[in-house]
Amino acid sequence: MIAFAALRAGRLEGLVAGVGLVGLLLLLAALAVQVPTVVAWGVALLGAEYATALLLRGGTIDPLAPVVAVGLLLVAEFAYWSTEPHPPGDRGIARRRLQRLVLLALVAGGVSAIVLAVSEAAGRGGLGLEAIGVAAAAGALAVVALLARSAGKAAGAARR
Amino acid sequence: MIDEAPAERPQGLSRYATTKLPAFIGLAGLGLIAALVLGLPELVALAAPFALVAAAGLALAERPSVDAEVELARELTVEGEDLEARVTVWSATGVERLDLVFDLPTGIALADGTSPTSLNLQRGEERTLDFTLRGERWGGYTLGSIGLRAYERFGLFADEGWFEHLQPVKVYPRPEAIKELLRPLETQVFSGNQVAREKGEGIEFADLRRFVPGDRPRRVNWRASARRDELWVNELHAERNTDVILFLDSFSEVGGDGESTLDRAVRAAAALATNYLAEKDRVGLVSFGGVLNWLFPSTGLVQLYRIVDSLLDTEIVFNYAWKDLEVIPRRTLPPKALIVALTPLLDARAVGVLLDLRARGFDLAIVEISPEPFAIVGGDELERVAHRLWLLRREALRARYERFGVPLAEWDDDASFLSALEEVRIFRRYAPRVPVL
Repeated sequence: MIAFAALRAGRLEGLVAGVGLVGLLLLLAALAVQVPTVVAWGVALLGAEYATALLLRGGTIDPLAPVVAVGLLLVAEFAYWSTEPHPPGDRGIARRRLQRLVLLALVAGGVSAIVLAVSEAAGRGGLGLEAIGVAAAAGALAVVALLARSAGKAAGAARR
Repeated sequence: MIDEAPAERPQGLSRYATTKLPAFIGLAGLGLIAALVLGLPELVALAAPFALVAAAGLALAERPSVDAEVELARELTVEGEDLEARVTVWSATGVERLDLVFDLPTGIALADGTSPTSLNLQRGEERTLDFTLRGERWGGYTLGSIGLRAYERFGLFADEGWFEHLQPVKVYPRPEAIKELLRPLETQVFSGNQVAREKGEGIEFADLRRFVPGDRPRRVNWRASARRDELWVNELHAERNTDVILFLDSFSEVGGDGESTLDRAVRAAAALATNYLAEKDRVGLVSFGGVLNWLFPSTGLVQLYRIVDSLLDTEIVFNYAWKDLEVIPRRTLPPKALIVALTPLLDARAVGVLLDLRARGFDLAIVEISPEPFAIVGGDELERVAHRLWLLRREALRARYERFGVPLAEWDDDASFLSALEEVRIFRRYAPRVPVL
């Protein structure tokens, strides 16, 4: 993924790959010392590498962005899975989780592609459509934040 | 030694968000903001999967409803023996992954079975897990704490908690092998298995004497009577019981490698109590230490359980108060009783009380549970000299007991309890009775 993003940049490949390598090192450190909070920083840096590559590349929208998105999601999922405790037990648990990840990757790829297509359309649709896009993004974030808050409250109440 | 019950834990499952939830929300938010700031729609595509997982996890997360129960095959076991336990887990909701841990106190080990373990439970499914536990150290324990952690399918939340159906379990000390018991110098008045010095009703031949009116004809020794031309009768030794007091020194202990002097003393006391009670003797217990425990002498199976249960409560309690014989209830030490002391001879109070008992005329035998194998000798000369001095002081103490006519045998790694008892027995047979000072 690091090499893909660096090659996608077209120039300053070393700088782009450097950002990705820092992310990779963070991920490896998170896995080595089993600190799941660091995983997000590693994934964010891998995403930053791709964003840098896009900035350097310029031009048209990258049609392979959904593939990168699915790749990042899988990296994050596998990294979190690795930092969880793994007591021995039912063998089917890992298989089922793997199946679910494959399904999730397919759905996420589809959603990502749709989102990209809509974003592209918004880019051509002028200022009004772009404003709608910004509002939609902010709304989506707000919905997720509200859901997280309510879930957090419920968890807190259950713990008390 | 009663293992304390685990601290009060909230029962049932409590939900908390894993580190994945804020991370995914953060990554989604970061992607969307970066897309807006940098004007890169591809970053919206990058953020979308994280937002999707977070939203789906939040919307679809179901609170698991699980319960767990522990069933023990029995409440009593012996050190080193296995104890079967069955854990039943059931779930009203489906649980993608349920981590289960069977919390065992120190002294109880898992011999067979897997803990922690992961389970996948369907809606309404009940699962039974069999564990084999092993009592590694004598004592009283409470078992039945099950820790559960349930993960929902997206891994954004986990519900964890403890289910405690505590049940008492007693691990009895492993009995030490005993071939021949120590016999008191004098017996008591009740019938038993011990041949008394006194003459009376019994089966062991004691002497011959002339027939006197009132003697039973069956006592007539016809061979002796024919030789003497007059009636002679057999005299027999009576068979009586004895009183035995087990004196356990619990002021201090020294240990290492999972065993201590107290462990050995408790095992020896349990074995002695079992064997003496099997011979219809009355057995009492004095646990002399930071906390004084005692049991009046009695006989029978109930007394055996009383003694063993009391031994399980034995623990070292540090206490600086000076204690002497006066604190022991008088009825605990009946006259003519044999006192078998099990002591590491480390605390001056126990040493003094044993000398005091001898001075008061009690029939005393000491099995010294040697702390010497547990002593770690330092590397430098000063520490080696200190160790040698300590050994010499112990030798001097043993010699002091011998001067007072107290049989004392050392029980250490090189000798079994059996040989220590035998050594005491031989001392009592051949050593002259030293008058009580």
